[in-house]
Amino acid sequence: MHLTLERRKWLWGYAFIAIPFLFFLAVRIGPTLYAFWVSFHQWDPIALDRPWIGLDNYRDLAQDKVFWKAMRNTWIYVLIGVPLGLSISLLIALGLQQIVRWSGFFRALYFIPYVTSLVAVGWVWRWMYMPNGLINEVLGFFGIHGNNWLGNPATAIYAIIITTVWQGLGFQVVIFLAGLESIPQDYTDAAAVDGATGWQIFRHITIPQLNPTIVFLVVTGVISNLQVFTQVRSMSSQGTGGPLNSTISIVLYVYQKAFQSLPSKMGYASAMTVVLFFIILAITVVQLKVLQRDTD
Amino acid sequence: MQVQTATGISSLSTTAQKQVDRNKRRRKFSQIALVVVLLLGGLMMIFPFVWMISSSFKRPQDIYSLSLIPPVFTLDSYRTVLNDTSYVRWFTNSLLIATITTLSVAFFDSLAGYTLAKFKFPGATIIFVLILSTLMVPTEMLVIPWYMLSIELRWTDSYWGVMFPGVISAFGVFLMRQFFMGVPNELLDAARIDGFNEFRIFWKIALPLVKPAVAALCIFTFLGNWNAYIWPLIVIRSEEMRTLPVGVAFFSSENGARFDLIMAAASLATIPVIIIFIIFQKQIIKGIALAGLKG
Amino acid sequence: MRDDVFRKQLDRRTALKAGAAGAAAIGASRHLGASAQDASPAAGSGFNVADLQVSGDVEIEYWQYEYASKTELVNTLIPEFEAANPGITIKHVNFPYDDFRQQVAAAVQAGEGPDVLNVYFGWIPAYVQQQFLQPLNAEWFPHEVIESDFFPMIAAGKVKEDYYALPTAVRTLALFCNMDHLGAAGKEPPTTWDELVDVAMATTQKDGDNFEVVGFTWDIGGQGHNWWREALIRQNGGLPTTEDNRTLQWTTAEAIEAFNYHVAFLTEHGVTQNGFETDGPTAFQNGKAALHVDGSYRVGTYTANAPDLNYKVVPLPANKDQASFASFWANTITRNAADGDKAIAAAKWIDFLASEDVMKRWTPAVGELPARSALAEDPDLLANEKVAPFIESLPFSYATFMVNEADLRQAVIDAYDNVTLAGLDPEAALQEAQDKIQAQLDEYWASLDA
Repeated sequence: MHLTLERRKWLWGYAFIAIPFLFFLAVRIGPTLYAFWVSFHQWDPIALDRPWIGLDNYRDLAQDKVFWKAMRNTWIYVLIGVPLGLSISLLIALGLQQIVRWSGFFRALYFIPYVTSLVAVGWVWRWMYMPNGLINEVLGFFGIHGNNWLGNPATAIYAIIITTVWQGLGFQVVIFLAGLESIPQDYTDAAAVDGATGWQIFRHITIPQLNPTIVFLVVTGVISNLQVFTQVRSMSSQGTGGPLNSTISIVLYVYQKAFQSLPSKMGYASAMTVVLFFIILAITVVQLKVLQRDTD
Repeated sequence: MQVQTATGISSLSTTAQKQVDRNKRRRKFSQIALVVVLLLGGLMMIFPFVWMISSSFKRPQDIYSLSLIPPVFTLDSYRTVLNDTSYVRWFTNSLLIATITTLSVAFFDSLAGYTLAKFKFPGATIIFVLILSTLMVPTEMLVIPWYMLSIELRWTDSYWGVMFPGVISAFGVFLMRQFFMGVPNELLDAARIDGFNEFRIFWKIALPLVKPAVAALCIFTFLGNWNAYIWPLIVIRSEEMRTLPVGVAFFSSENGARFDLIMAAASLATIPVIIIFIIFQKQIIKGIALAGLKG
Repeated sequence: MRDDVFRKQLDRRTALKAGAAGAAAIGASRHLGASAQDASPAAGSGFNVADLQVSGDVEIEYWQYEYASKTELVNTLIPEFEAANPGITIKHVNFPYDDFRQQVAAAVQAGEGPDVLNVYFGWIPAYVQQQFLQPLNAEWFPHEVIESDFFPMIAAGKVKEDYYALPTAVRTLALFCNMDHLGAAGKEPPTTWDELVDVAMATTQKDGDNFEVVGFTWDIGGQGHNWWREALIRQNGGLPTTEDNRTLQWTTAEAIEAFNYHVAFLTEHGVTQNGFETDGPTAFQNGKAALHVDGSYRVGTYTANAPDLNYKVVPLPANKDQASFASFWANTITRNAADGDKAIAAAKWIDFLASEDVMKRWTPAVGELPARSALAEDPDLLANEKVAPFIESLPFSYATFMVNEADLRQAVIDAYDNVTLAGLDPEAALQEAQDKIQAQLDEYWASLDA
């Protein structure tokens, strides 16, 4: 009796997941395996002949200085961008939740950067960062000497991270709000009646209750920052991850090798994709293991 | 930290009246401080956006002027965008594609997320990790296989061709799984005892409890598809099938871009997204009421 | 079917401002109407394709990136061509300039793609190596005719013994001078290296440490790297590569001296700043730069975006010799049209697009220069004083032979950045750039010689 019930539940599970799973198999996993296959070739989409070269692409990768530079930069994007973005957005979300009047207006205010196309705002940011731009004018007002923020290899990557954080906030705030508002009000009420301070409530109720949301945002934040591309392309000098590769990210380098280099080094780009894939996979699995608490 | 103020005060006994008054005052003060801080932060946040809107009303030669108010106010860029390009058609294409994709994602991702959160069948973990793993390959590397598939199946230059890679999103499956995990199992078991079938439990019991998440998912799916660029660019050939971002890409060329047109086009393009946001944002707020009632 | 809808769409459209203004800037548009009636396809081409006939109906796909005025001109040319060549239909496909090669790559790998492709000259050698392009049939397009009728930059379309392309849209570099700033400093447009430094120093305006007007733009990622490679080195008596295009000569005394001359604007003369007004063309457009080196296409941009800008164009300041950089877009035939009727149709189509007649209409309509030497002295084309200096530069303008355009550009930019930002010695920086690109050249020629 118990077994059949369990089995019937399994069947429902398989039925529910069947269509999405087949879809992912065909549209995502298949093409991913194709990229794996391509990575063992000297592959140019245009050429007639695409010879198998085994692990050569991977061997070249290990010695490619620009690749390692991109790898390092990508970690800077992740290790600075993700914590910065998450902590700011959590603060904003907590604040927005407390707003009594015009809460919709305030939320829209923080959401808007996310809907604005980077092509259009990219130059606004470049305009603010340029040596005779707004940021330097403001700094100059306080007597601080300006800087060519995007043109200086020491600062360019941080300038881009600020833009990335700015753009991602709207997304994270909305998800945090959805998470916060799924926390049953009576939990916090009860704690307040018991005399808990705001900090205690935050520490012992809000954060644990928010765990699935935080897991989601950390994991997706890390994944998307590991794949940072558009922001670097539209902000960095010449759009090539400069100056002197100080802002180049792995995906931008993948893109350059696959589609800008002549002849296209699609095989090489695929090898990078494969490496990136396993890095992200390993990190994600670890994150899920460490962060996830079973709420059952 | 001002983030949590006591609520549910009305249920306290009158002996605590003084405490309540103090709380009220404190709350009022913190409310004002909060509004000021959030307003200042918000203004900084939307500054580049406001600049974009203001630029869309500037003449090409004024685009680079630093003033937020256009030196000469003009609607020329809007006129050019609306009259001289197929903007309306591109807009309609994008609207259609983003709407259908959003509906599909909302349904399938909720279902899949629910299954992965609440059903412990053999292989569930592997399936979850496999689905997650699909987030780990940048789209740029998938477009060529997708394009070959589209040619094979004659999907190029069609709505379905643009849509198919996105009708179910791994990102959303993950989001929904995380939120369904917070739904108490007792509620679902109670429904099982009442003789509900599993789909009905999902649809009638579980789904309404995660409305805020569904709303957030809808906002982001719509937005993601509204802004999607690289795949539509590859799969579309004819002018009338272009989506908005692909159409707008034609304002840029080898030696520079028509920023005045880009600004106008981008400003117009934010309108539907803001409407979608306002609609679904209400759902997120409604979520409070539901969660509050639940206990 | 799709084609018809497409064309209707385009007819409905009017010119985007940029295109229209660019056209107006270049010259009287009377060319357009005047020669539209008597367009016989091979008029003035000098090639032997007029007598070729297709054996039946054939359709060829012509791909070019979209630029409003260009697209429209081609759309008016197609019916003329089709009327003169019964049996041939041209399917015109446009796509955004961004991600050009990604779109071509996806289509070609999937077994589709163009029969005739309009490509940037710098991509030709690589496409040849990939066996994507067909050499031009030497009987139909005799080499002596190509060499005598076109400007020297055509050499960039030749790989080993074969030509692969006929240019349509040519650009050269010249010097843009803001006459308000020059006038205020009492200076005339510079004609030599020394004068360039002198005028730049005289026109620079600073408020303390901050620039208000730069005397000369610092635009390495724009045209600066081309200016050094093809103009400054040659003007200084050097050659950027050996004549056979196999060996780079970026570290010769002439090349290093030319490089140092350029770098000094930033590091010694104090007349310019990296990233000022975001980039060079923008700084000049906004009236914040006195001098700026740029291509002919910029005239159209400025007419549209800065109608009140008071500027003049002069040929690049010279040193020992005169030289300028040329770049062009060219029509090429892909392996999809390797033989049969498609090959004939494709040959006739690129011949038509490169004919003197079409070129005369191209310049006023699109704003790009003619590629035929016969048009260098065309009074109609020279009538526009902003465009004339570019046309006058054509006989001494050179296009770089490049096997990997993106990497070559990046290598030169990095050399400048290494010197100006990282403090590297110029010779070492140039050596590093040269080593990287020479390795690619060696690999390229090795694969072709094999």
